Amino acid sequence: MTDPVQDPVRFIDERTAGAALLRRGLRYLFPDHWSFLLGEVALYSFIVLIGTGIYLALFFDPSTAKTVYHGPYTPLDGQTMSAAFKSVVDISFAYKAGLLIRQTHHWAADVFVASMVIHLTRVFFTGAFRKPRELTWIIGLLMLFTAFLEGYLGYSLVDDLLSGMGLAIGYGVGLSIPVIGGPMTLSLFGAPFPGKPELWSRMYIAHVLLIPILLAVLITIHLALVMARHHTQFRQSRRHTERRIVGVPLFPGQTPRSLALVFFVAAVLFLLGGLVQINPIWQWGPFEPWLGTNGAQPDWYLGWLIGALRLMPSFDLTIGHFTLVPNPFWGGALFPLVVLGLLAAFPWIERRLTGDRTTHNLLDRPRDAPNRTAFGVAFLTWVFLIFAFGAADRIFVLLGLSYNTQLYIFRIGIWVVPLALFFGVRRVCRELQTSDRIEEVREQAEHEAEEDRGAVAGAPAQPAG
Amino acid sequence: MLIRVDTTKLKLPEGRASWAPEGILAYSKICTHAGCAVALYRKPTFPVLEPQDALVCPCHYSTFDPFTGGTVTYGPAGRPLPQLPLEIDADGNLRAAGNFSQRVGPSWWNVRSRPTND
Repeated sequence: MTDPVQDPVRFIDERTAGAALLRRGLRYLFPDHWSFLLGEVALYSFIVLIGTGIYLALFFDPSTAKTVYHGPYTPLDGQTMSAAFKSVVDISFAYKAGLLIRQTHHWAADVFVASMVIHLTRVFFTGAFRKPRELTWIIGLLMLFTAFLEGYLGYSLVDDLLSGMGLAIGYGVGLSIPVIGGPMTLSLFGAPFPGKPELWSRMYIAHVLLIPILLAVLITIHLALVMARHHTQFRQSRRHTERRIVGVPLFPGQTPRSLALVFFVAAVLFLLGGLVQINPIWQWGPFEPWLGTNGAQPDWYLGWLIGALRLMPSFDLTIGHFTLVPNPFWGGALFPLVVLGLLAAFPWIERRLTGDRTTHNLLDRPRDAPNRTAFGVAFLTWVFLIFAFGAADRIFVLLGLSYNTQLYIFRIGIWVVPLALFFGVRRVCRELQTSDRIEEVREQAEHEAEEDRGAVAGAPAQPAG
Repeated sequence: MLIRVDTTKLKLPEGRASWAPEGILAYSKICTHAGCAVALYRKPTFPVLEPQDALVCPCHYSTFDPFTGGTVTYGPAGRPLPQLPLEIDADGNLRAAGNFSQRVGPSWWNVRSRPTND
């Protein structure tokens, strides 16, 4: 007699010896708290990005060859444009589901980065980056910054007016790297901006192959490290300790949750892609190096860089005839490097400052580490204010507050507001700690009172009130 | 880019007196900050703050004064816009009378060396 389930399973197990590994994997315990799902949202957005990206790659043409448009979108009829731009207009109007998939891809990229940033703040404010998880933290940061680059390349490839302006700025920032910036950027672009056609092949292979593989490898290492050292957990009950893991197993507990989340994330992204217009390139038109438009904004995750570029006062640092530090370096290159460097070094900085070298599997609440929380709020506010200034021209249109006034408010505000928040937040954390201690003492006292009453010759418990 | 302005308002740097025949000025359109096109021409809306016309880059709002040789009046750019000397030849054609006053485009290590005149 053959068994249709047992036999194939036994066949595979006898040849892979995978049962033991699988059993261990299925028993892996997940902490029972919603905030651990933020990273999963990023992962599922990445899956949607891969899926929609493959579909787009079937139609996209990474070529700057000039062509004349004669397609269903009549306002662009007869317009000369690159084959790359034409293929994206065709994806939007001529191919089945093209616009849906393109917009979903774009939304998924925005949500991918957003969920990573929110996940990062959760990890930061709960101290999940502490020993033994510093490497997981570093890998996560690398993923985030790789995703910035991947998104930038994605919208640069389209060759519409906005993407060309973004590429010009990228070229300018590349040139601005002291001493080596010129030769480095020229070898990448092949010629002064807009570069040679090879640039498009280079950006394309990076966007659809090299960086996605890099991201996939980083995700794999990130998750492997999480599993190897196990998830952290909140002190939700007395059973949650540094040594004992409390949670739901991968199967059957976590699996339906994660499956539901996959479908939910995909559904939301496709709904956004289908219902909410994003980057209508046919309105911007094709790029030419002599074209630029007012009110141009990049995708949100590059807004902090445009803000930093705009905030810098007007100067190039020169030595004799040589330009040591051209202006865009500060906002476009140094600023993101400082943010990355500070975040990457933070586990070690904190260890140095607190002297705490022990292993931590239990998470802090933000109030448990007032200095860290205060620093985190101040730091994020600093970055956020610079980000907000990137939209100063839109703020002017919305609120009528002049760009110039905003410039001076922000130049002061980006330093003063974080500093004030540091002391304010630290104070709030300490007050919360105090109130926690008072609560603890009160509970202890009530508990003792209860016991005392019980000790009085087994007297019946008094009714309350 | 080519623009024509009132010659009485011109205050070009020394040595550039002949660069703008009949008030016609030529500037590089590539912003000296990060390389976007300096695509906006701003007429004064509020003369107290903005006394005269300006060339504005829409990316980071570097603003240049066409009357004084493309000097930076606002925003993050670190160098003036390079100016191209113009002349009107015997046939009445507008011609370049030499190379740009500076290297064109965003700054880099060697950008402040003089462009050659060939």
